[in-house]
Amino acid sequence: MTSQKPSAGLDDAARLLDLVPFLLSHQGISIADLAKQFFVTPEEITSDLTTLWMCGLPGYTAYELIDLSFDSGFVTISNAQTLNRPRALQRNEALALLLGLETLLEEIDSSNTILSSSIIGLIEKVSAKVGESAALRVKAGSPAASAHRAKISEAMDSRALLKISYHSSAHDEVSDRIVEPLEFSSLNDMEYLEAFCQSSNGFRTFRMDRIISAQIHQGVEMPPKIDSTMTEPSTIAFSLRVLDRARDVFERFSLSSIIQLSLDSSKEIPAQSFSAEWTLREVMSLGGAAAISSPESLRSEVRERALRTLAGYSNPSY
Amino acid sequence: MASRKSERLINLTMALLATRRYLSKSEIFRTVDGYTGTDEAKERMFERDKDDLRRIGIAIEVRSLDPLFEDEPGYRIHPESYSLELGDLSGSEIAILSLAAQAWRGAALGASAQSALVKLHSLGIESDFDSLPALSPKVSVDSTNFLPLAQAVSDRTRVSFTYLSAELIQEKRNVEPYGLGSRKGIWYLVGRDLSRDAIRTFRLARILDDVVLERGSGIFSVDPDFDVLEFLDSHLFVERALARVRLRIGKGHALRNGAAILSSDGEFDLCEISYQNQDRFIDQVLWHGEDAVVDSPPELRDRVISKLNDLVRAHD
Repeated sequence: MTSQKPSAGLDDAARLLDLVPFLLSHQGISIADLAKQFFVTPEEITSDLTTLWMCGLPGYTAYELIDLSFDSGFVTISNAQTLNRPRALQRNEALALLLGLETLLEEIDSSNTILSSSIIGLIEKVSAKVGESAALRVKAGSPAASAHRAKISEAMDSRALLKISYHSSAHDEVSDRIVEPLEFSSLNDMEYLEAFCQSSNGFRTFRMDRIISAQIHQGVEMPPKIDSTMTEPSTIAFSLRVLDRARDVFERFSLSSIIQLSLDSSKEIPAQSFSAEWTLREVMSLGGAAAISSPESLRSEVRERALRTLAGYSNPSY
Repeated sequence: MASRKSERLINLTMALLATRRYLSKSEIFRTVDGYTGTDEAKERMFERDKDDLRRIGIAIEVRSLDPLFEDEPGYRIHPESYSLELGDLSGSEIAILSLAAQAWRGAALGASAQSALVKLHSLGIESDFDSLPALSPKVSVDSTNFLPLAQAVSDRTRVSFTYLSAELIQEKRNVEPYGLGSRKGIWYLVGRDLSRDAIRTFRLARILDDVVLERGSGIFSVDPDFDVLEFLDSHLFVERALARVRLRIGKGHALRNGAAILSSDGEFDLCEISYQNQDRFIDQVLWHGEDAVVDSPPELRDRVISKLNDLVRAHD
């Protein structure tokens, strides 16, 4: 928050203060679980507890010191009532909760009025901690998101198979697939599902906002058959010239590594993609801002496709 | 060393929280464990400790103990300002807040969300997830600049960064950040661009370096009612226009979302589609090639035809 460097041990002090109310409400928790909650190692937690054991109120006799027992690997605490309440939310914490609540509100079914009014009530309470006008100025709007994330998470947790209906953008087709969901990933603020696709017998990445439906698949669970032929989808190489809208072209073809190049429309820039169809469609969509130089087959296909599309315009409009 | 220090900070916090009256410095030095050395050393230690506690959000209140002699200040921490106060929370509210915190897993504010969650769970209220439908929200923001920008927005601190312009030029920008908001999963910074003296919108993903907070430049002013989402809606998605497009049957899925089918000739459906940004809509129509043909309005149809001619020329 300030540019001044905080003292050593300050994070430790903050964690110690947060440990006390957590322990008071979780008597008997194991050191391992406690470490996990606070994102530190069991050794660090043990050292925290040893420090806490030396703390208390003025006098510092057995009557005033915090009493802890953790020899057994399970922690109990007493004589720590002064610190029984959790600390107030810091601004970053309140902001994280606020943006999370706003995202949640966008995702729920708006006909669930009981739930939406609870969320709105909490947004008001938490906004007050961030400051009303700051809350208006940092705000999460409608996510690109997917209503199916809960179902997919459930399948991941129970290691179940999913049947998804997916809109493949490159081929403009909707297909049903049986997948084993592995994990969520994100790139440039877009969310993806990494999965083993049984239908195509390989690892695939699905854009979350293109998953049209997802259901737990009640079929027989089969272990993925992994063979060396399906590690990486094959890439195709091509080159292009940038004629206009340089940033759009660079972003769509992920050319960021050569951003430093001076722009020169005669320069042929090498690029790669996983699909010829996808490349064709991206070039079409750029409407003449980028031109394929090689391979010749891809170049002539763009030309043919543009001509065929133009033919559709030779009919008078309705 | 670090543990001696944190021990002293805990002892100081406990003493100042437990007291009902303000404690003088000499009382603190006499009774709180950990203050050793010369008077000067103790003073320095105490000043440093006060700053440190403020940095982790604990406010020490100072009041003059003797109204006639203002040189003897007293100190305490108010339990109300120290502790989490969100009113009475039910089990289902705790569950909702947990979901909100979990929305940050792996994203920019993940650590803050996790520490908020620990505090909420320390209230000793059992979460009641059974009262909620299955939900798993996700805030998608990858940029490491998110947190510094959010701080700059709420502190009203000027920022500078390198931005990738539409012409692919890396430009230094100086901005008074008014707001940070997302639409369709994309995060934007809105603010006054000082060299252009105009309000501009920046995509976080196009900021190329670490944002620098210009703390020395003071606080700027911003309309207290400035609502970042309203601004984005009225500037990014200004147009609300309708187009008639012929879509090949069984194709054009992305365009069909929300479109009305007016008629069908067995090969094409004539669809009415609303769009918010003409340039983006044209990109989308062209993406579909011969499966999507614009009928009207004529101006849109002409722009698509002209781009198709450009494509043919560029690939001659």
